[in-house]
Amino acid sequence: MVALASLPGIAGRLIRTSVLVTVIYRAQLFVWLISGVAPLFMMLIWWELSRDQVIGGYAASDFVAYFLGIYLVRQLTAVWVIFVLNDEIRHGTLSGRLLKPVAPFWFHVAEHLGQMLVRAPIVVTVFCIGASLFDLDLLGIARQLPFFLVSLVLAWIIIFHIYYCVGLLAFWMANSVALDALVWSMYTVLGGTLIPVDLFPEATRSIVALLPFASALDFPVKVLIGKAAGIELLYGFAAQLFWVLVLVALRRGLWRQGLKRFSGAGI
Amino acid sequence: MSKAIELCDVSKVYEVYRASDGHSRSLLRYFRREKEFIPAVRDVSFSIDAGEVVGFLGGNGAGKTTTLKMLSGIVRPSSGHLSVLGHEPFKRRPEFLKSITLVMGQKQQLTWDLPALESFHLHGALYDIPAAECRRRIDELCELLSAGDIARRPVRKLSLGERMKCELILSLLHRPSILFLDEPTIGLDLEMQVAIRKFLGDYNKAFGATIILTSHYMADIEALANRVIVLDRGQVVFDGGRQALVKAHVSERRVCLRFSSAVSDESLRPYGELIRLDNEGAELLVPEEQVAKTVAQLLASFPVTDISIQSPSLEQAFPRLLLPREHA
Repeated sequence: MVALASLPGIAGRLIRTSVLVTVIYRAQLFVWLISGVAPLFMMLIWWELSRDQVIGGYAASDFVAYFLGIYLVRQLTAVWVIFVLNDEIRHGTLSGRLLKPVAPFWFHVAEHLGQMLVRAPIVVTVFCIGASLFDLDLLGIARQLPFFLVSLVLAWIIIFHIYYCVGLLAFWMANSVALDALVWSMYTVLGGTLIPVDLFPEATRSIVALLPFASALDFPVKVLIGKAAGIELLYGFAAQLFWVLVLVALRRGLWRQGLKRFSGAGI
Repeated sequence: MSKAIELCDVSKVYEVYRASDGHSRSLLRYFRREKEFIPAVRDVSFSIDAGEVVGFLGGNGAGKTTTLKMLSGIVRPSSGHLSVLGHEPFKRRPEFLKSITLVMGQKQQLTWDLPALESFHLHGALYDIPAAECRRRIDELCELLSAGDIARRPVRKLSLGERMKCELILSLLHRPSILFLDEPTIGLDLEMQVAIRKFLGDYNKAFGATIILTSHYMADIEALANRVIVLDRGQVVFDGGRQALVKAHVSERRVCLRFSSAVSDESLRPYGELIRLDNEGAELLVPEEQVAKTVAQLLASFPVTDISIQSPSLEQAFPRLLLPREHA
């Protein structure tokens, strides 16, 4: 085990490296931020549709808050680890990471956290501007922040682990990135990017709510805009914790089994 | 002397899917893939003492890199027992990883876009080296390798040789007691090769580190390793002193001559195997026991202006060791 006392130093250095690299690729960062505006288009569509009527319990202002929230959560929990892992396993560059006394998983986590530190202020600014333009209750949103931040961290762990597990399939498959489109579309549709999960047909809603995609996106958004309270809040957190435990166990199992097959190709 | 490395009947078999030629067969394989098992290392056994410098030799695909990957814990052996500093490498315990390093001439560990200095400090944190001590070691290694200011420039702006120096500094910051070096001088100019060999030799002496080195440049092995392990098709075909390998496989001396006037090849052939004759002079391979007599005859019979006798080299010995097996 790495000594506990040295953890802050290691985390600090890893995150610093990621921040420095992110700043070098700032143009790419802006392209990424612009390409993530799909929820804002959905917001305009639903806002237009609901101007004179409440749809499934969502008024126009609820739709605006929901999709602004979707934008915020998607951007703050953006994950690209599938590409990193697929590349490292296929080309054998994982070997270099395996030789370090800190597990490769933490390098990948730090890489994401570092980039998020650069990205978050911009995303939060966009969210606040949007919320002000549509006259949303920012104070009400601020009151939800403690619960929201917890749900956001759990959501990030869930989506990071989903992509991590799929990325690890590169130990068995020639190219695990092929599965990215499948996961992305499930995350987009079942997470609530197009339609809030509450508006799904009755029969499918309960199943969709059980899947990890709703826990990773719809739930934290509902916490932020105050649409998850009381028993629903407890249920949502329980579902998130359940998926965190399942996915962490799955990731560890896949890692252990996959490594046995690793040949360090390319070195 | 204590054993740093012990291998007993270690094998590694890679599982690969067979590729097909032709469209229809490729399509068929899409549904049913044929597995192939390729033995990369077969029943390899040897042990290495702490502080020893050992050269791994072998052609492409001989199993050198796979053996290094197993010793450093990257790849799990298919069978056999393997111990490095008392650890099972594949478990990759932090204490084990902190005492080894693997330098791959063709792969880099430095962060491409940042100055190497950033990678050095990250490495220091990962290996629990106090900041002040880390700075001291960086300065010391930079001085030893004449790396000067290059550590402050982004890695992508460095030349191959400069990058290799930084790779070495990074790999040695935590003072590993075992160094696995895979082609550490590949692609470097002669001056840089000499500098890196000298540096590695000094490191071995200063810290009593065990070094295992693979290289296609025999000069690397001749400069550093007294013991040589030769692998061929995954098996150890020679394990012993470098001189013993040369003696066992090369019984000739190279006699180099310069003449004051032209000499014909027919006139030289009776004296040995003529391997070169041009305006510069000639080179003959002469059986060891006949060297004295032949040299005397050459001096008496030809207008010789300069003569030198070269000891047999690893470069001559190594292909001869593999030759009989390749013809088998």
